[in-house]
Amino acid sequence: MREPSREPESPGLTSINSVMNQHQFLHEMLQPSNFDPTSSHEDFLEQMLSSVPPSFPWADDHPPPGNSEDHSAALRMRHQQISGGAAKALMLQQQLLLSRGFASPMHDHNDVVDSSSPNSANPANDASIKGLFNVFTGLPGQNSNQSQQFHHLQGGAMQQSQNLSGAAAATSGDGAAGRSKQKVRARRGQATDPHSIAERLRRERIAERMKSLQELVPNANKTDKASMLDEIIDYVKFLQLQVKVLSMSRLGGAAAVAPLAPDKSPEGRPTPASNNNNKEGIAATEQQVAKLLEEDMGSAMQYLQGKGLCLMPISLATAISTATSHSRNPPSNREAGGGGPSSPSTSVMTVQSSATIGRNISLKDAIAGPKLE
Amino acid sequence: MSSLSQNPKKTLLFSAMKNPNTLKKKLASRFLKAMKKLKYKMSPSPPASIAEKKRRHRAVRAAAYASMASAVGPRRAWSRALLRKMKGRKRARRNPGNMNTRFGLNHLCDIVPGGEAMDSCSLLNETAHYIKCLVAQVQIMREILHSSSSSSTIL
Repeated sequence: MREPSREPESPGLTSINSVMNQHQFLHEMLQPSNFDPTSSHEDFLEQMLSSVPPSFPWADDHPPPGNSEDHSAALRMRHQQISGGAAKALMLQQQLLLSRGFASPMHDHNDVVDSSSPNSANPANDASIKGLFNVFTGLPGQNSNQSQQFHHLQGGAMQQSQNLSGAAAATSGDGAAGRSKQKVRARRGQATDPHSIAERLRRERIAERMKSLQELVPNANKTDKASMLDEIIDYVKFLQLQVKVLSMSRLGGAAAVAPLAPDKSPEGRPTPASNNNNKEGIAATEQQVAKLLEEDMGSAMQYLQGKGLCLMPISLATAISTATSHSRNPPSNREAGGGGPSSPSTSVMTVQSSATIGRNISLKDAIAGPKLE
Repeated sequence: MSSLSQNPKKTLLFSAMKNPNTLKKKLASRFLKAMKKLKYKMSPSPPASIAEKKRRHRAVRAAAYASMASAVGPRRAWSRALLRKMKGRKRARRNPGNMNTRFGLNHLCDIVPGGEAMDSCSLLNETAHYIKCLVAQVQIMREILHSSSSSSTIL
């Protein structure tokens, strides 16, 4: 395949025009036959040709005989055409380049007359090949793979341009297929589907927010999104419940919670405790305190305070009771669950419990009257 | 934080969110003001009937939420929704092709005020800020409660 006009001039408009002509010529020639525009080719070529600029320096550095000049011009032309667009043009340019690069040893012998001997032309050729090789290796991915393919390509250099283009196509296909890593995939996503990009962005944003939420919510298991969402929902509900309870106990302690007592009274069993409160009241108080202790320690204390009661360790309560009063019932269950967290300054009171409260907090005798401290 | 390096809108959100101290102070002042107002409204002595008590509790709770919303201001969607609820205006229900159920956020949008008229992304944002404010509000109420009780110390 001979190009019609090759002008060994300095890279300028004329050479570019010549390359353009050659490109069009090639275009007409090659288009029906062996062009195989798969998207992988396009992407691969785009990548390859986008990283062509790094190979420019060497193209300028080497003393340019006519062929390599045209090579560099063609490279530059190709690079310019990249910003323009069509991958078809790029691929054809590449084929042009490859064909020229590999066919030039043959041409050089014939055409170039001046000092660009075969020796210098060959290194120029090799340099062009190396340049293309740089283009290949400049891309992320499997360098070894590419080098193998490229050597294969080089081995088939003396074939016709169609075979070359076929090899180039195969190379690019293999390269793209073997390299379907992040970059190609991202490019493909960008190129084809703006919706998926938007989706991915959205998902990333949501994952971010979920992470920041995880830091707020105390139980950060981080297992998966659904359980995390449930945790968040439960936490918000818990906080709202806290506000509710706190607002109830805000105004004057136990009186706030008294409305709940009538609900519990059918459950309260008559206890044989001998104190001022009636039995139902005690049982209801127990229930109330136990319930409040589970959710909010402060409100439980508040409730008791409102009633004039307090919490104390059982041992102390029994000691006091045996010391002061004599008609107390002996405690049946000995569990100081409610008195556990009490500080020394806090006096713990016991309400005599029945088995109705099947919780680990069992309260003892109710000591009505002034609190003991 | 990685989120700060992300899109600038997020950075703006983070800077707009108050650090806990100022938020707490603001919430506390508003809440105390609201409580004072309530005290003047209500009967000073503890009310006898149950219904009155219930009303009082609801009033306190409403005061808590109202003070929270007004302290945050109209900057947040949930506070706007709360304020709307307080003033009794119509709920601005604009459902942007509700995608909440997709990510299992269907319960969350019921809990967070104004959660239905938001997309999943901003809903999570609002939830985060809402949680922050709720925590601060609960702390304030607890502290007020504990400080007002003149008797023995409470946990």
